[in-house]
Amino acid sequence: MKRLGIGSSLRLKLIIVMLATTLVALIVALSAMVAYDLRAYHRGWIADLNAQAELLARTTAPALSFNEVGTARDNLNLLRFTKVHAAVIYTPNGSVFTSYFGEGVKRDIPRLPGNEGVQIEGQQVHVFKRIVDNGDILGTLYLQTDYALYERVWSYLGIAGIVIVASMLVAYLVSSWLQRIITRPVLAIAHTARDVVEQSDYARRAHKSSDDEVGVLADAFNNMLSEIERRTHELEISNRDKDKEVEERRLAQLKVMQLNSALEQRVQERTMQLEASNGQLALAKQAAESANRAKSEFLSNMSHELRTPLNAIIGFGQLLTSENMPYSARQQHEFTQHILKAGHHLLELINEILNLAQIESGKLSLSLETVELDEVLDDCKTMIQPQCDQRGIRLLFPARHGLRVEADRMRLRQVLLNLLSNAVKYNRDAGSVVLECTALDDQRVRISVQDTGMGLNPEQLQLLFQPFNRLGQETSAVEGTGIGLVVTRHLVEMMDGQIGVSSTVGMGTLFWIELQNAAQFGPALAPVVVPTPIEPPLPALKQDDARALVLYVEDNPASLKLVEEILGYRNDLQLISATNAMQGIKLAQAHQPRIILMDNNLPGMDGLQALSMLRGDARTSHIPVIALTASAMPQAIAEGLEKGFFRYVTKPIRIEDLTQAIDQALAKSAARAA
Amino acid sequence: MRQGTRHLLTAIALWACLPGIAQTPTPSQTDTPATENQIKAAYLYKFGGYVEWPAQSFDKADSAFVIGVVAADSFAEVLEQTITGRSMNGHPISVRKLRHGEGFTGMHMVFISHTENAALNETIAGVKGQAVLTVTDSERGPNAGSMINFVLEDNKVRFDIAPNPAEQNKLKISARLLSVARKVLGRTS
Repeated sequence: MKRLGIGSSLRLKLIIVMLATTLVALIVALSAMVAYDLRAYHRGWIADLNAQAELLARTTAPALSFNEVGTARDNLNLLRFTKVHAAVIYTPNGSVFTSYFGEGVKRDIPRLPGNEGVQIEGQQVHVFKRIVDNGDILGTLYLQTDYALYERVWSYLGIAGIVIVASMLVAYLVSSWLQRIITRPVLAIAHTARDVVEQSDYARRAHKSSDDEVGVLADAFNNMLSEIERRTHELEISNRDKDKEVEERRLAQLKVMQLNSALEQRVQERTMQLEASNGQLALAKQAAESANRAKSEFLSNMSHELRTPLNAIIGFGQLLTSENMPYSARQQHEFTQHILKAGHHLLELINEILNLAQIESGKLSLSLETVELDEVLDDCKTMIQPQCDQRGIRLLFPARHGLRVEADRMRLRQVLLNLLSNAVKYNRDAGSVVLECTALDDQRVRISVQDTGMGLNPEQLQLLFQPFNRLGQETSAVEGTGIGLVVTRHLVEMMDGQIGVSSTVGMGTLFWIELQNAAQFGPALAPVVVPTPIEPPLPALKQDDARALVLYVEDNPASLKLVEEILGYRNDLQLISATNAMQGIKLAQAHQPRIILMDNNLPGMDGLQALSMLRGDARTSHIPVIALTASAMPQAIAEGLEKGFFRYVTKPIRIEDLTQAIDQALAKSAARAA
Repeated sequence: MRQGTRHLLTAIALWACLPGIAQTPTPSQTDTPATENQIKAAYLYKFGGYVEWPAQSFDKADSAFVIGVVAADSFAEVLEQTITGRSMNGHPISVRKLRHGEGFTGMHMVFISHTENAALNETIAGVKGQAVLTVTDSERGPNAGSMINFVLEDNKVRFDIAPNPAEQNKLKISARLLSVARKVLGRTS
């Protein structure tokens, strides 16, 4: 349809152009011809009429001259063979001499003759002619006829119409045939162009059928097609590349999205972790704050607790030294008792504080080993029995059961002593303390200490393990530091154990600890450093040499004096001393003492170095060396024991500790000698 | 020329219908009705326009055209009035009164009145061989050999023409004149 439209349009246009040209040419030519013909006709017509009038005037002149009306009429009647409709001859005075009318002609003539000449009025021509003869005007001839020019025009129009129709018909046929010369190649190109557009086949080419402008058009079109083909090819390649790129980008985007979602998930997880750790931080902060608060309270409490016994010491000391205040022997003994009691209390306090400080600073190191519980319990019972006896409290220990636990021996003893000590202290007089040991399973051993004291209410239980909280016992006569349970709990936990308490007000309190059951580790190694139960050694030690030689290396005269006084009570020991390490080593080499007491803070060489020298020398390596030092920090103790000190006794010296250590060393020395 | 039907007009009508005469500048004739003589005089003058004379009839180009009137002096006077101020084909016109027996030498046209009937033939014979147009108004005129003869028909002045005698005298009478004659004598038409 579209194709037909374009083609027919071009054809139609060409035909219309040709027909229009033909029509214009025809109209111009016909108009010129008709105009010329009409003009000639008009002139000829007028000339004919003039001639006819002239002839008739001359013919009718004699009749007019001689008044022959009949002749004149006869003359006029000759006009019936002409186109003249009417003729009149007027006399010179204007009257009608004679007249003629054709058949069916209206007798309408001018009443009077007009001016000579031809007049055209509408479709009629009027001719007036003077009749002159021999110089005399005889009258006037009037002729009337149709002006046939209009008829002729109409007939010409008809002819022209027929000619135009015929010509246009011929011209249409000719142009219909001729237009193909132009339209065929153009339509061929248009056809090719349409095919190219519809099928996108840029390989097609228009056929060049002539060398004229259409041929140039075809060439140009073909060149354009080549260019388009090339461009299209490039575009396709570029599009393919782009598609590929788009695909890659899409994949990359997908990947990025996956990564993003993963990232979001991780962020969410981290956020949750952060929130959790924030919560933990908040808790920790809260705990830290409360710990800080507790520490402040602890410091103020500690200050108070330290000052209280000092007050007694300093106070009674002033009384004893004052010369203005006389006192009896009994009073002196009493004062001294107070001073000693306060001093012991102060020492206990400092030890526990140091323990706590070490625990809290993480500097306390425990060496876990398999411990025979029976041995430890025996020690504890021995040590706590005197307090029970003082207040008439029954102490009930289990029979030997052979349980073993994974624990630090010394710390376990400290824990148990603390619990037992509390149970005794806060018991009622003539009450009882019951210690029980149970293997809960292969893993756990529970040791419980139950008293028959006042018991604790739940609020007190909550505050039980806080430093210096003596649960209302501050004002009582019972001595206490308020630190013991705190240290105990820390120690138990450091031994992978647990501690717990249950209490009934008025009935008593039960503390328990659970420790690792060491049953699965096999039998305990034979204790090397742990001495056999204390036995009275003195008589057994009496050998060839009456007294055992003890070397004391100490630079401080007051300490040296104190030890001399203490050992002076024992007649089985003989003390020699050195004021520095080198001198001590030489003395040891020279005299081979049974025991060496070694201070640590010595001028020049310290105690540890001296110990290693002693150990390195075959003459002295077997001599037990007991540390006797103010370096009471637990790691110093541990280090000293590790380096080879037989015992580690700290200043201020507890006389019992010292004598016990000396006894054990003597026992060891005796066992070796044996 | 074919002879058409004739209409008769009265004399009065005739006069009114004589434009050439009526328009003559002669004052004496303009106001008075035309008489028969006046009509005949006018006709005589007009005949000159339809007749061709041989060239030798005139000595010179401006020689007079002479009309002789025989035995009719009154008519001659009327004729003179008629031709006054007129010319004949470029020739001045003169009227000559002639008596019986007078020769016609130098004449171009002669009017012989019916009063001369007695000697009509003789008179006309005197013209013979000369280029003189003879006009009579007598019944006997044509027989006597006159070329144009006036007749009165239905009170209208008309004329007959005999072309043969004119041709014999080397005169050519125009066919246009013949067309208005009552009769053309000597020819079968």
